[in-house]
Amino acid sequence: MTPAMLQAISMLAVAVQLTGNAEVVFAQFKALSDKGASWEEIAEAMRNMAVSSGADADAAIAKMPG
Amino acid sequence: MKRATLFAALIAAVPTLFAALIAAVLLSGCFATQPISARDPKACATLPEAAQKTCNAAGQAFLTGEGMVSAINQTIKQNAESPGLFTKAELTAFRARVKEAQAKMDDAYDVFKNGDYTGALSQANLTNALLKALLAEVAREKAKESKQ
Repeated sequence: MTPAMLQAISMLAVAVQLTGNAEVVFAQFKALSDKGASWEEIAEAMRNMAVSSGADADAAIAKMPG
Repeated sequence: MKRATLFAALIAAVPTLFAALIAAVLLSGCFATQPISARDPKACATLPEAAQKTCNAAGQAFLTGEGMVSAINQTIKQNAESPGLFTKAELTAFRARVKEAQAKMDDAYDVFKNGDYTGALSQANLTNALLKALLAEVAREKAKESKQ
C-alpha cells in the first residue's frame, strides 16, 4: 500500500470517527429530550458540552510533543 | 491507455477520491438529520405561524451547531491522544477555527434571545455551513499533502 493510500485511509478513519462522535452526541441529547427535557434545558446542556469538549481538546493538544 | 498507466492514475487519484468521499459524507447532512429536541423553544410558542416556523428552525439549527462543535472537539481530542495523522500545529489551527465558529454560534444564540429569529436562523445556518466547509477543507488539504 502506498503512503498516499495510507494517508487517504487515515482521513476516511477520521471522517468515520467524527460521524461516530456526532451520532453519540446527538443520541445523548435525543435521549434527554425523550425523558421530557425542554429545548432550553437541552440547549444549555449542549452548550456546556461544546465548551467542556473544547477544553478537553485543548488539554490533549497541549500534551502533544512539539 | 496501458494497464500500468491506468493503475498508476488510479493510485494517484485515490487521495482525491477519498477526500471527495469524506467531503460528501460530511456535507450530506449526516449530522442530526432529525430534530434533536422533541420540544421547540418556549419563546416560539406564542408567535404567529410563519414566525414560529423560523423560530423553531433557528432553535434546531442552534442545537445542530452546538452538537457539531462537540463532535469535532472530541475528534480533535482523539487525534491529539493518538497522533499520526495531524501535527500539533494542525490540530491547534483546527481548534482555533472551531472556537471561532463556536463564538459565532454563541452570537446566534444571543440574537435568538433578543427575538430576531430570522437573524438567528441565518447566522446559525451560516455557522453550520462554515463548520462543514472547514471539515471538507481539512480533508482536501490532507489529500493534497499526501500527493506531494
